[in-house]
Amino acid sequence: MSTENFKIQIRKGLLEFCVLQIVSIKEVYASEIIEELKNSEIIVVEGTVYPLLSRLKKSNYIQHVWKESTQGPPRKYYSITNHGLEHLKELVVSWSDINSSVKKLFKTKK
Amino acid sequence: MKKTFTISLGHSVFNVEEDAYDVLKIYLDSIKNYFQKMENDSEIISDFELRIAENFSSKLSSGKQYINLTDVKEVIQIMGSLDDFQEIYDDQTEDVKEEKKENNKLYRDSSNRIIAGVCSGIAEYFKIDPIIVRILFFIAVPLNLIVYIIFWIGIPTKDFDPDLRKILYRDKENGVIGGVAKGLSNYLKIDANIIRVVFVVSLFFGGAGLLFYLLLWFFTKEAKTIGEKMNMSGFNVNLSNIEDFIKKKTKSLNSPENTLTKIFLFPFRLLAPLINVFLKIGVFVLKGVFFIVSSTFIVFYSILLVVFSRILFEDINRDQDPDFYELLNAVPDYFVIFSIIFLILTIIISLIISFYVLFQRKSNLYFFMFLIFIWISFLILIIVSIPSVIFILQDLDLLPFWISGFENNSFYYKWIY
Repeated sequence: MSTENFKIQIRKGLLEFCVLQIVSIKEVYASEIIEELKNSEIIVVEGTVYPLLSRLKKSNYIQHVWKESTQGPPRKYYSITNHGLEHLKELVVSWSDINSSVKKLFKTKK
Repeated sequence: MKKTFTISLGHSVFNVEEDAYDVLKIYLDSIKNYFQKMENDSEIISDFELRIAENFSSKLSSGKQYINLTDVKEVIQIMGSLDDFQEIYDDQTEDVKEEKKENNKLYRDSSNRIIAGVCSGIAEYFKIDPIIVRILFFIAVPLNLIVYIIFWIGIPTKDFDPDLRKILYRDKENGVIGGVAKGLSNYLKIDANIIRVVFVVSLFFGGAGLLFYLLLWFFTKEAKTIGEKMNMSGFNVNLSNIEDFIKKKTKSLNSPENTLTKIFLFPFRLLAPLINVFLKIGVFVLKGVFFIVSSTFIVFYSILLVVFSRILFEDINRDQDPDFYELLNAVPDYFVIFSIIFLILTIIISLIISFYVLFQRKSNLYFFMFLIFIWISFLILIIVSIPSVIFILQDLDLLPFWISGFENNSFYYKWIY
């Protein structure tokens, strides 16, 4: 497994987690989510976010409303649902579990 | 100076330069295709377009009112290509493939059709090029008409993805006369010069090659957009391929022809403009001949129409020609009415066809088929009623000499007895 491939696999697994986290803080529209993800270098290309948003919506983790914007066409604002919030809590727990296990593994090696 | 297209994308309007438009269209089509197969969700695509529109808007200013190729390439880089999506969603693409295998029913192809997509649908079914089916149908006149109409009525339509199929186009850009040989060479992956030699040699053996050449010329479209040019060369249209294709194209333009090919092609290069002029003149002359023939027909039918309606309303001078009057009077009214309706339909249909051939004015296809259907019904009615008319006339001993003279050989005569 190349380093590049490793990164892709990790990002792929974490993308859903990160998007839910961003949406849970405040109501955002797609471009804001993309900016945030790009800044933290979770995604490289923007297009990958859209199928994910669609899937999260289908699983009833997030919802959206249309809002007029001062510039340009109306935008879709996403927010998290209660169901999504529960899911996010579970994800946070499992992420910290994994995180600590990996850290422990590296500590014992030293 | 460059041509631009006006497009609407994500609720906004943009002016896009021609080359940029080609690339953008291929990109959006490939994205659409991918997501439709994957999630079956039109929302993804509209969100996607909305974001592209945002990116485009940020590239426009008061000094720059249009989108060019660089903008499109940059935006595609930002949005990501199919490969990027496949990396993330590779687990789902396998389901799509399986779904495709099952899908082996005969449909009419609404995405690549000339009349109703019957030929193209059959071609999709057997995984062959529609041109083969079309030529076979063309050769099988008139049996094909019936088969075609049955297929047309009996088979539902479906939008096939033309990108997944290799299609024969004419490659006029790289061709010598009409680009047929070059197009064939792209299609069969044989050197164009070999095909040209075969065509030329076949000229000396009864000219079958010429007929074949003209048939292909008539039945194939010229590759114009980048997408068609890529299809022609067997490239699947997706983003990574577009760049490969453009690179290859510039490379092939640079490679010089060897002297032998130059010598061989020289007379044809010389002849090409001449042949093109001849073809144009030929089309013009043909149209002229068609105009004369069709207008003669229409006038002829109109005169017949007048005669028949006068028969119907018994508006013929008795004293002038008593025999003729008696003959006309004996013809049953229903036959005259059939004939009048038939003539009116014939005139309308001839007018529609003439307008189509001479001015490329298309009428509604379904309306036209409906007319043809009624026309055929009346034709059948008339054919069926001719024997009874002959009977009546025979009984009255009014049969004109030119019918009774042929009586013994007449098809109807044998049919009646």
